Amino acid sequence: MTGTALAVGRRRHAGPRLVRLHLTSRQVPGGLALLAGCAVLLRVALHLHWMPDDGAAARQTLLLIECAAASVVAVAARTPFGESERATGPRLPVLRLAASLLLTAAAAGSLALGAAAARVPGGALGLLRDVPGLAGIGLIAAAALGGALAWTGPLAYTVLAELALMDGWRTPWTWPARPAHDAGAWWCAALAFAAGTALVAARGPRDTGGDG
Amino acid sequence: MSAVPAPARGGRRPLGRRIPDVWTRAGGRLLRLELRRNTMMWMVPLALLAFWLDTYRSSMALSPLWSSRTLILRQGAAVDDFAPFAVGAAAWVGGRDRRRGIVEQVDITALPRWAGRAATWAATAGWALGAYLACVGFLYGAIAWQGAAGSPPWWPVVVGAVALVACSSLGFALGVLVPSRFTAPLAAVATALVLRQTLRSGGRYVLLSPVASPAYSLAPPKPDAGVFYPYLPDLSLTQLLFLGGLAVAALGALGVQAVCGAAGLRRLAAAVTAVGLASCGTAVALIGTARVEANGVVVPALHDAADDRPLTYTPVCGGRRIRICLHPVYQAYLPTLTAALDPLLREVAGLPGAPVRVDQVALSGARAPLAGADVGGDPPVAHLALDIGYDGAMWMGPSPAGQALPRRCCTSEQMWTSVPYVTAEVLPPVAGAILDRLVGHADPAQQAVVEGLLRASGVPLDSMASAARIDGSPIGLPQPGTPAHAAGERCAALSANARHAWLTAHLADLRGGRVTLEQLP
Amino acid sequence: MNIEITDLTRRFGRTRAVDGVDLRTGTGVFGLLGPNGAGKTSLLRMLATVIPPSSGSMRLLDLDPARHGPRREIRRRLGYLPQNLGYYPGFTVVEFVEYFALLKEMPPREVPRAVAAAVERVGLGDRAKAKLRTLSGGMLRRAGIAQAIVNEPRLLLFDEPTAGLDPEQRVEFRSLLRELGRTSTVVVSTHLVEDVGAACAEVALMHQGRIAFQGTPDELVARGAGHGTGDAPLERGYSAVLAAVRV
Repeated sequence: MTGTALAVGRRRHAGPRLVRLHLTSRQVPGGLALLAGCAVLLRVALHLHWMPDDGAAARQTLLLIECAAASVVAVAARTPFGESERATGPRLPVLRLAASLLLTAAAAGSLALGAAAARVPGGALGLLRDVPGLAGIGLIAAAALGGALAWTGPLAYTVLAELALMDGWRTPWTWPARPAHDAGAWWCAALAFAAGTALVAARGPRDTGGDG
Repeated sequence: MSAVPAPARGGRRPLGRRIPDVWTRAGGRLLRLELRRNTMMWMVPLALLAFWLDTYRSSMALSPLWSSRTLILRQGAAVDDFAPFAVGAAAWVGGRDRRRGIVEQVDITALPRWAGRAATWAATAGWALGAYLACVGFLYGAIAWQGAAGSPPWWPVVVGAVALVACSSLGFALGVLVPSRFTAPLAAVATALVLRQTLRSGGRYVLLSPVASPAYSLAPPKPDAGVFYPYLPDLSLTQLLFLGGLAVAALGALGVQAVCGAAGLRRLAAAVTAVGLASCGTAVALIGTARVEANGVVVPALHDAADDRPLTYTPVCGGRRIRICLHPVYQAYLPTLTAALDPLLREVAGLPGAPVRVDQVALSGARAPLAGADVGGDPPVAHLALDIGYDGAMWMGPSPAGQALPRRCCTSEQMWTSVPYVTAEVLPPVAGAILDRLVGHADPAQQAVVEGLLRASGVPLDSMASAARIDGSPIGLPQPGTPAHAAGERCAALSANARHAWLTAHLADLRGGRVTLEQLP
Repeated sequence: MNIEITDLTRRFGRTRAVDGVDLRTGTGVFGLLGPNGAGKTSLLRMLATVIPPSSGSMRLLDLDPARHGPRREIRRRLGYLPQNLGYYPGFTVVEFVEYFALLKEMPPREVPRAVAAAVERVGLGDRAKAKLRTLSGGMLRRAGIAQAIVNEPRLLLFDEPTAGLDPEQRVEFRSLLRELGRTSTVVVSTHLVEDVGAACAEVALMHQGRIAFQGTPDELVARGAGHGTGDAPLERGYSAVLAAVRV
């Protein structure tokens, strides 16, 4: 057996191996650590009463933490491989979809965990709606601008949603400003998430060359 | 052949000569290149949108006075709008070389890496600063074009500009030192969070932040800053020291790495960092000595005593029997104010001890109610402080705990030119101060007369109770169903002339507590 | 025929990077020559199904890459080394090659053996466990070649494959090309005419998006007889063809 063969070893489970390599190349482990950091930050913010009520200011703080989590999901879409990866088979869209879903679930889940047994402005349900919606915006930005700049989408949307919170906008498109029971807001967030994941899965983040 | 004087031997060359021409030329060209292709350029539309939705719209909802319309800017809203984008873009640009895999290519160029990085940072900060100044310029232009009274404050503009430069520097340094794909978004969000938290904090050192909360800050922006007294620059100067220090320290940190050039240059960079940190430390020490006074924050080491002298002005006056005199900046509101206060002033005019004039004075206290009044002097003069500030604007910061966001009905200008609004908001505290001085509030007869006069003047008694709760007004009104309440109603039902005649005859006794309820008409 | 393209055009805005190219080739090594900006990389990217053509028809491995199902089948049997190789610096050589093997839907049981073989074929056996960030430019290029050949593709596309390789490695690579060319169609885009002369059975010379010459290396050498400038016969042929189309 050659040295290379030894290095490769015998791996029977190709699927998990591929998923692991794909997630590693997207720096998903680092992303998960940062999502855990977001959860800790949320916990600290709740503990220190940075969000004492359901007011606009409290929800703005929560929204910013949600934005950080969504940015991690969006930026993780960036691929280091470029065209050599794009010229491969149909497993890639599935992997992209899985990575997006996994990270979004991790983002929403970690924040929900961070807020466990505490009162979250707007309610924990709102958190589960807002994070995937923001992640969807980030993934759309990744498809349009490239993975590296994908964070600008959630950030710009957050600024808009902050204004919507302060000004009491009623449109469901600024879903973080709507109460958790607003069905329209749920639909809009779901649509943004579906569009983002579908775009990134099918097309991948925009190839921006060396700067991508 | 012409004689050219030889330079003195051993003389020091001017600084400009000591920097090699090739560096200055290369630096200039590099800056031009960076300016053309800088990422911050693409962030500008987002920042402009935030500025328009937030700072511009809110400012324009306020009264057309320089002191009012710049409240939102003085609160730091524009910095809040721009900073996350500036930090994010700067961090992204800072990590660019690593992302593109050209670190070694650029590290080995003749131009010192510090200069190269500085050029890249300058382009990033330049775009952020240019966009900010253009926005503020547009806002100031719009305010001036609408003929706002007063004069524009420039210190907040400078503080905002330096704050953005500091944000860019910190973001850029972070991008250079931690070139991860996650750096830019997290830096942007962290900046927004830090600014948001300083809005919720009221500590002394939070005053160094470029954003200030109208609800929590120890020294929220005053709606009449620069009107009665000169604009106090002490806090702005301290903020500039702090923010400028942060910017300089971050820029210095870009040049201390081994790849950044010769040892001498790196020592210079370290010295620059030290100077920046010293500047920050000085600012922190200075703010530790600051006092919050009626006119704003006083930093003893920076304070100019001349700023404590009131500005001279010729008041504009209106009203018939008792003149109401306002600062000329507020001239536009004189007719509304005169109309709103006239029923009260008509009732008390000519009574012994009644004020001979109502003078507008500067606001005192960090969070004044919309209007406050007291009466003093001999002959007595009523002093009226008007807070023509946020009311009617979109609420920018966190509301005090337990309070819901106020619903807006109209702009501040619409409110302050509405007689019913001014009657509801200004008349009660003025009536409270004048009638308390004139009649007193100790015994039931005094309370009954006060109630009668309030009813006769059209003062909403509910507002009176609210005013008493908010500013601790001594006015106590009789409870319904009591003899004093009935006497107050009787007093209000008298004709104005009969009431005036009775008060003229009995006011001294009433004030001295020598009139009983039964003796009232 | 593994590659059949007719009147293939690719526009980027107003620029026609590839302008009405016709090409048919089967098994063997096919060299693609041309000056900078001639359209070689754009043609290769279309063949790699990375970008679609603006117009014209293309069949690869007797399949239509415009349709989803056939494109999937082509990609299973395709190897592509782009001009700018993207890589994740934290991967080892083996992980990098294995990742592409799995993406190309190789049967899982075959992956370890195929990865080991590909890494050995490019001479990186002793660096199999090294992280990509620790490799030299030439070694990275070889890792890129390994990921391209790991699935034993029927259609191999190399864009400047020998850039950064030392002379010894270039010789070995040419030998590898000849070996691959026995069973597959290998398209090599390069500036180095000696690579073409040593390894290619057929060559095309592109200029301004069009094919200015197509034939064997010997025919290209013949074009240069008494014409052109250059140190080697192929270089003279290259210069002569370009001089003729530029007139």
